Amino acid sequence: MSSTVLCAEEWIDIVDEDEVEFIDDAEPEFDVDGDPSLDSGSNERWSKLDNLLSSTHFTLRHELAYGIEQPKDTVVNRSSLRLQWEQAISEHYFARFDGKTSYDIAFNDGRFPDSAVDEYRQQDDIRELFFQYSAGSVSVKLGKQIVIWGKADGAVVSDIMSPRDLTELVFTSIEDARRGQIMLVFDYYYRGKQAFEGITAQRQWTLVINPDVKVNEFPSAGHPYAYDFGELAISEDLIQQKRPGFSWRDAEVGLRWSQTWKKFDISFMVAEVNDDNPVFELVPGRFLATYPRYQMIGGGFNWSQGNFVWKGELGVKTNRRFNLEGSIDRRSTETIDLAFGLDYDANGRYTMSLELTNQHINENQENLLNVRRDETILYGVWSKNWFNETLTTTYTFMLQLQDFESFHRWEFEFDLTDHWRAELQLDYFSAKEDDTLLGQLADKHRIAVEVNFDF
Amino acid sequence: MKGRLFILTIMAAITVATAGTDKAMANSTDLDARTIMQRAFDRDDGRTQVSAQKLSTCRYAMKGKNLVCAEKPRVKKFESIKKDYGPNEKDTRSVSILVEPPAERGIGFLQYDYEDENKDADQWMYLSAFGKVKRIVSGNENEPKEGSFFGSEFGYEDMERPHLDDYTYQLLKEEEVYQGRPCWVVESLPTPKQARKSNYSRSISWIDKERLLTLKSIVYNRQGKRAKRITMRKVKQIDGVWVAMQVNVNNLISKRMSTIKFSHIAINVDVDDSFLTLRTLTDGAFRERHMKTYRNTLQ
Repeated sequence: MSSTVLCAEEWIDIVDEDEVEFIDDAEPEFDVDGDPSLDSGSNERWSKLDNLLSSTHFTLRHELAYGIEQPKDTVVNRSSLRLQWEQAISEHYFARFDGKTSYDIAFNDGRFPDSAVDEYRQQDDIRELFFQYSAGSVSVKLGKQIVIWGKADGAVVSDIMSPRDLTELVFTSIEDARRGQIMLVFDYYYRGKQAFEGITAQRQWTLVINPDVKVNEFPSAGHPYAYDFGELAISEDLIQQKRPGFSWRDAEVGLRWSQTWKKFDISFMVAEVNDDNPVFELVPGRFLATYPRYQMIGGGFNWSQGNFVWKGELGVKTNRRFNLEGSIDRRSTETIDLAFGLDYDANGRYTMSLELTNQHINENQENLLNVRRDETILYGVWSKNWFNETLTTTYTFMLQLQDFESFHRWEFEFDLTDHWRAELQLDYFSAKEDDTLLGQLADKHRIAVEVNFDF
Repeated sequence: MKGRLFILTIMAAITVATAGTDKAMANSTDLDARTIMQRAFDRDDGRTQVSAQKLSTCRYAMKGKNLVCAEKPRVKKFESIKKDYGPNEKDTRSVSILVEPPAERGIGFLQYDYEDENKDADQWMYLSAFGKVKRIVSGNENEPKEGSFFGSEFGYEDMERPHLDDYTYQLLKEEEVYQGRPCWVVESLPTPKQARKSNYSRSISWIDKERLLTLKSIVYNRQGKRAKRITMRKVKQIDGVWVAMQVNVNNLISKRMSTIKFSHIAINVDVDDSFLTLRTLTDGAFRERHMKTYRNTLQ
């Protein structure tokens, strides 16, 4: 017992019955002013109208971002309205919609070519629109949706089913970071037969069939974050896209088995998908951006222990293709992607995540274009809440160990009310080479503010 | 989403007692403090509980004899389903889905708590923004837990089901009427082992003699200063189980208070084991199908 703790006898000496009575007598009635539910006991949550409204979530947002170095100007000045809605249609049917419309007035100031203004000033996107049938142990979802696999947060190891929107590179918010695809997703849930200490394992098979193959979205020419093609020394006009498109015959397919039991979550996946990043092919007069097919076998685990969740993930990918420097030759090879890390909770004082990831290209060629044979990244997040969780401070870093290049982000998120949120974000890059993972972003430091109204 | 995961077992742990023990306890005036607490700990709180709850938090001021919010309260609403397991029905599995505020709507928690104090709780959270279930931890049991339940004045320690052997007890007095009920006033002091990991150095509890319900607790911080007053109100009998429909915690140091209110509750309804699994967090049709059944049982 701590020295500050009094034993019972000491306490009786100090606090007598009168004090106990005083405590009791001093107890006031409580009320939460202006909070009708404390008194009314109304059934508002359960009315049909409320059920409908409770399924709807609007987010009105304004983002303002300023480039500190290159470009040294406003890069985002955008208002958006997002609607998320989900509802059980009947006992076995369910629907979900997630869509957003935005207008960026930064594209009004004449700095950008017409093509960029047309593409980026006003945008509408349906991220998800799917219908689900669920009965017994089976669920089937059909429609535009996002499938997220894997345990790692800082790298793409086995999380390969839904491509990313990288138009604003690392600056894209998490909820906007994935692109929806029209997919058919089957889930089968079942329990282990043997109970141990009264607990049976929870198991699940998931089959994903994706005929609507999309790939990572990169900024086009004229966008503030348009790609610098570096050693290729080509203009974007010379690049012809050969994106996969919609085809049941060439659909991407993924199969996952997962189990949760006691302190362990494990999963195994196999998949055949198109690469989300382009591999270039030289055709007469042009470069063809292709997205070759490859196969993956992978797995991941979580293991919780005290303050820690340990996590790991492995993905072995065959028939991946990479360009070689100078010649634009394509090399087919195998990659082994690995992640290992931990989440730590300091008993409510702060939380921290650390992850070490490595992509190994099983290829002796040293002249791979824009990629290393081994790319090792240390990724970390530290977060702390203040003032009854109305302020959250977060520091995120990414350190590429081979070139010792890094990315740093400081975030301050304020919950102003139950409806209003504001966020301040500072991003800083430290990079030396042009052709490295972070080299493309070396001068893209920026400061951004964001205000959200949720209703 | 900043609230760490602790399902609201406080309502079950503190505020629920069975009517079945009423008669047995009514004339037991010669019980020692540990026996009183043993009976309060062992009371049948119902095998399952389905509820809609509202958590309000604000900085307060005195208005007449009442405490009132001095600012617009922060409000969280959620639906919660829990079921007891294990040989003593002291293990608990629960699912909670946030309904409000809008930005957190749809965030889901699954939590397995164990009677065995050497077994850490298993917790998972589903965030629609991430689109996946994430296993989380609640910290270790060897030091005081900081932070609070969704930023409220309910600390994580307030939410946990206590273990009888972690405290020593003394009956301070018997009170004829508190909230119109005859009560025992019992002091609890943590054992040296418990004191190392507790935010509190002692507590005084007013326990309803007939219903075995803790109507009020005053807890003292590690410096021996009165820290919180936790008060239960609006006690109702539901399916033979006494339930306090409101719990208020008054942080006497920060001058903030939080109130949890059951807007609807059902006890001992059938809850499917398959509902208290990860599927509920990710399978919207499955979740809503079951929730519709459970909502229909609510009072």
